[in-house]
Amino acid sequence: MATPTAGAPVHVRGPEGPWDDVLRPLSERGTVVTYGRVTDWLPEDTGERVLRPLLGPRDWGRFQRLTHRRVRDGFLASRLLLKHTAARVLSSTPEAVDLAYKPGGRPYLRGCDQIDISLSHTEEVMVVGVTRRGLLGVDVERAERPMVGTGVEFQACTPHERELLESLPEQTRNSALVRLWTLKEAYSKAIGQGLRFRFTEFGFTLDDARVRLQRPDGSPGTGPEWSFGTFALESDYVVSAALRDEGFGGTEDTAADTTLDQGLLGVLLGRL
Amino acid sequence: MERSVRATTAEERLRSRTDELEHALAPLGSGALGGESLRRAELMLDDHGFGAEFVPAEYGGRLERIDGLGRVVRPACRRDLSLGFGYGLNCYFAATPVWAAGDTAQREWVAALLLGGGRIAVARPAVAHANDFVRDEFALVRSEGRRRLDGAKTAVLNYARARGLTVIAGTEDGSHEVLLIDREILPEGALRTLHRYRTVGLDGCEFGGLEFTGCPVPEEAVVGEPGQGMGLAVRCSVVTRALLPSVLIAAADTVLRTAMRFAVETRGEDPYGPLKSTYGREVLTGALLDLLISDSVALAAARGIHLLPDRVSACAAAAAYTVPKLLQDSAHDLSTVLGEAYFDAKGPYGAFGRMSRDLPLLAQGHAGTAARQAMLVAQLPKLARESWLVDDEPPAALLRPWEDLPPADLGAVAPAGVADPVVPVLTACSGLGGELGELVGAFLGELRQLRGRFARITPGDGLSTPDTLALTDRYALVCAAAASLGVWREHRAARPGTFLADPAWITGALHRLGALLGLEGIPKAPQDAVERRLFDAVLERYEQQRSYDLYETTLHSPDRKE
Repeated sequence: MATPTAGAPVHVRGPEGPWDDVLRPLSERGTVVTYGRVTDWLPEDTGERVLRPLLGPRDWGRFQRLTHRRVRDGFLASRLLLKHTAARVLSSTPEAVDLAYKPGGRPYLRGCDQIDISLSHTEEVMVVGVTRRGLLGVDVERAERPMVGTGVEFQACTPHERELLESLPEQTRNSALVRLWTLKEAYSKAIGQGLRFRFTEFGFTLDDARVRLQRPDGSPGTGPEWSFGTFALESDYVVSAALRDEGFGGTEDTAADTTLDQGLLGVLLGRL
Repeated sequence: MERSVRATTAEERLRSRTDELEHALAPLGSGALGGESLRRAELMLDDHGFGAEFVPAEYGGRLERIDGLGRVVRPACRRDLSLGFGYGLNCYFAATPVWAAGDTAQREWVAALLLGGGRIAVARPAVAHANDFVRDEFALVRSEGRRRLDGAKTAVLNYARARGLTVIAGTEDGSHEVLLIDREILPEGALRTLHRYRTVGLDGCEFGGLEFTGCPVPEEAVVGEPGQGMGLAVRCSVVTRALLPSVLIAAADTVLRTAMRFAVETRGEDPYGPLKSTYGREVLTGALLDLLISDSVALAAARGIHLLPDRVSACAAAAAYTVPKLLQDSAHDLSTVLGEAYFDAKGPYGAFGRMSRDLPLLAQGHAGTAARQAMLVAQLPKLARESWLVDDEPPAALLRPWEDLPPADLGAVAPAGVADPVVPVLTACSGLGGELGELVGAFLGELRQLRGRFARITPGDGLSTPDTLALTDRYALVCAAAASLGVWREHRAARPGTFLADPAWITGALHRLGALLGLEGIPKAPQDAVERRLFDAVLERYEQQRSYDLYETTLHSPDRKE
C-alpha cells in the first residue's frame, strides 16, 4: 500500500477561495494543506458583532486580551483561514464550526472528527492542514531563519542528525536544519505534544524520495502508517506536514449534514 | 475453581473468575502477543471456557451482569486486544441480537456454539460516512418465492473461522433483517471466504471479506420480528456501546503501566524525569483520571442496561463517544514519558506503542463517532426539554459496582431514552461546598446552557450541523462528569476510607473534564495536595501491581513476586 502523503500547499487568497483547489486534493488524496498571507485575511470589520460569532466565545476572549498588533493580526487571520477552510470541507459556515483546543493546546473541531486539522503561522504566512485519514500536524518557518550555531543542533537534533548536518556543505546546512525543525514540529503537533515530546528523541532523514522518522541512532522509528513531506512556499518559507493514516479506507464524504445515517435516525426518532 | 464454587453472589463469582483468568494468563506478560503466542493465548482461554462469558447464565453460561462482562474480559484485553476483543468480546457483540430477540432454538444453538469454544461473527449494515468496515452490506433478495443472500463485505472480524454468522442484511423494500447463519450447513458455493484485510493496529484480529452468492435463507434464520432488523441492531448497539469502553480501558491500563515501568526503571532518579518533573507527574496522574472517568461512565452505561433499559441509551452512546477520545489523547500525552522508547516494537516497553496503535481502530474512527452522535442527537432535545434539571437522580445501585443486579432484559432496551439516565446526579450534588462544590456548579451551568440550546432544536431537523454535533461532544463530557461524581458519592456513602471515596480523584477528574469543555470560572489546576494524592496512587498501584481502573484488580505477570 502506498502511503498517501500531503500534497504541496494550496494558496487561498481570502474567504472567497479559490476553494475548488482545496477540495479537489482533499477528495483525491484525503489530505490538503492550505496557506494564506496574514494581510490578505485580515477583515475590514473587526467589531464584536462580526468577529465574536466568527471566532467563538473562547477565541474572541483570547483575541481581545492580545495587545501586540502583529500577534493580534496573526491570531485573527490564522483562525479565519482555519475556520473558513474547515467550513468549506464540512459544507457549512465558519460560524457553525466549533474550533476547540485540547488542554495541551492542540486545536480540533469539536464534534466533527471526520477531519483532523493543524495550524501554524509566522508573522506573515499561515498554514492550515486538513485530513480525513487520521492525524495531521503542519509547521511553517521562514526558510532563512538562522538556526545553525544558535544551539538548536544540540537542543533539538539527534546524534544521527548532527552527523548528517556536518556532512553537508556549509551553505546548505542552515536550510537543512530548518527543514528538520519543521518536520519535528509537524510530527509533535500531530500527536498533540508540541515541544513536550523532546526533539532529541526522534529525528528525520532528508532523503527527498521518502522522508522517514528515525530513532536517535538512525534506525527506523514510526511504522508505515506515518508519512512526512516538506515543501517550499514561494521560496521564502518551508512547510512540513506529518500524517498518520488510520487505515479506515477512503471516506470521501466530509460534509457535516450527511454525518448522521438516515436509517439509524429513523429508528431512533421512532419513524420506522 | 474451588473459590468460584463457594462464591454465593454474582459479585463474588465475578471477582474470583477475573482472578482466575488473571492467573491463567500470567505467563503471557502484557501487550505484545503475536503469531504463535497469540494462538497459545487463545488456547489458554479455551481451556478456561472463556466462551461461557458470552452466554447468559440461563443458557448455561456465566454471564450474569453486563458490567461484569466488561470486567471479566479485561485480563485478556490488558495483554492483547486482538485476544480479548478480537477472539473474545466481539463474539458477544455478534450474539447480542440473539440474546435480545432470538427464539429458543436460536439461543440454544448460539449457546452451544460458544460454550463449545466456537466463534460467531457479525456483518454490520452500511451506514452514512462509512469506512471500509461498514461500507457495504449484504442484500436479502426474494426470487421465485425464496429468499437469498447476496453481496460482499470487505472487513468482517473472524471472517474465516467463525461458524456462526449474524448478518444484518438490507432488503428490497429498504428495511433490514437480522439473520443467524450456520456456515457449516450452507450449500456449496453459497458463501465464499475472500482475502484478509490488513489493518493498522489490532494485528492479531482476523478481518477479512465474505461473499454470499444466492445463499438460501430459511425463515427460521430471521432473528426477532421480520422487517425490524434495523431497530434490533440499534437496540443491540446500546449494549455494545456500554461494553466497548471496557476494552479500551484495559488497553489504556497497560499503556499507563508501561509508561510507569519506563519511568521507574530508566528515569527514576532523574530530577527532570517524569516522576519528578511537574509535567511528567501531570501526565501520569491525568492518565489515571482519564481511566477512572472512563470506567465510571462505562459503569453507568453497563449497569443501566439492567436498571434503566428505557433510559440508558444516551449514557451508552456518550460513553462510547467520549472514552476513546479521552484514552487516545492520554496515550499521546504519555508518549512524552517514553520519548524514544515510544517507537519500540518489542521488549519491555513495546506494549505501549502497540496498544496505542490499536486504540483508533477499536474506536472505529469517524464512522463509530457518527453512529454514536446519531443516537445522542435523536434524543437530547427531548431530554433537554423534559428531563435535565427536573428528573430525580438514578437509583444508587447504578453506580455501586459491588451490588448485584436484576437480570438484564435486552429486549427492553430502548433505542432512545425517555429520561436522562445519569446527568441528574449533578443536581443532586449541587449542595457540595468547597472546590468540589464550585466544580459541580460549573458543570450545572454547562448543563443549563446545553438545555437552552438543545431545547430549541426540533426533533428531526438541524440535527446534523457542526454546532449541534459539537453539543453532543459537550453532553458526553457532562455525562462522564455526572457518572464520575456518582461513583465518588456512592463510595463516600457506602465504602468510606477507599480511594474512590476520597475527594482527590473526583476533584481532579472534574478539573480535567472542565478543561476539555473550556469551562469558565474554575481554577486552572487542582491543588498540590490533590496532585500528590493522585500521583501516590499511580505509583502505589504500579508497585503493588493493581489495575488502574475502578476495581484495583490484583494483576499477575511472569515477573510478579507472589
